[in-house]
Amino acid sequence: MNKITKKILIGLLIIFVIIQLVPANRPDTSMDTTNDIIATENVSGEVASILHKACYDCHSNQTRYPWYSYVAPVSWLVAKDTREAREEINFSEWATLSKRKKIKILDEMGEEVEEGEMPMKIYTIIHRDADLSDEERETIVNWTKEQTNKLLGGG
Amino acid sequence: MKRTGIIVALSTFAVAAFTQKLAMNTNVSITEDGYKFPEKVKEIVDNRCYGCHSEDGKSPKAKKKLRWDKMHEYNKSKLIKVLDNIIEVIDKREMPPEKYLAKKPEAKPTDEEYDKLKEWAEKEADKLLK
Repeated sequence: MNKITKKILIGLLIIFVIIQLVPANRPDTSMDTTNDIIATENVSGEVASILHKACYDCHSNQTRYPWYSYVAPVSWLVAKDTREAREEINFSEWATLSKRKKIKILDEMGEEVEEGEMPMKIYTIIHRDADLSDEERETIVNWTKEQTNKLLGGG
Repeated sequence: MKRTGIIVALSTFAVAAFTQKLAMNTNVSITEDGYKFPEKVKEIVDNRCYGCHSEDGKSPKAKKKLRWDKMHEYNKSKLIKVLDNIIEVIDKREMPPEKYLAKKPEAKPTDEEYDKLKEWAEKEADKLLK
């Protein structure tokens, strides 16, 4: 290894160490299920299992942070994605939402899952069990329609 | 030869510019056989939203989110979804997009227009949720 390469590598190492000092601000986690959709909407075991493995890390307070989410710069990306995901939909707060919001989210969910937009590729590459099969997607889509009908017909 | 070339180039440019202007001035509007809108709301939508959120809109992203000209085809849950989104973007003043308003500040709706549109969207959503 020549002198220049060595210098560059040392430089990168120093930068790597320094950025670990920048806080990632990972959103807090909580196992409180008071307002959780699975707890409050009588969700089947099958659907609950899919939600947990493919959605909950980003779209709930029950995020499981793996080791690399503590290492910058990956930690910054994980924190940002999780924060934004929860802003779109947080299943842990489901019961606090208006009927209108619930219907909107169910409709959006059905669309995104059917089109393969969700879960995101960057997640499923690492979490292989979250890479949903066509049947699993169909299960979720049908479930969103059922839930919506319940909300619309319930009166 | 050079002069002819310049004249052709300038003419082409002039025609292109004129056609552009024509396209901008074409009166695109919500048609009568679509969704039923109150007159005042239709006016606001035509002036402030329809350009992007309709068939001839240039942004695929905008068209995917909402098509005012297709609202009569939306099922109940999709309708509720777009109405909720409309209310949300009005509350946050996210529409029209900032980038667009930076180039055309006169395109920004007045507070009265925002309020009127939001009021209508809320009423429509309430009707659907009964």
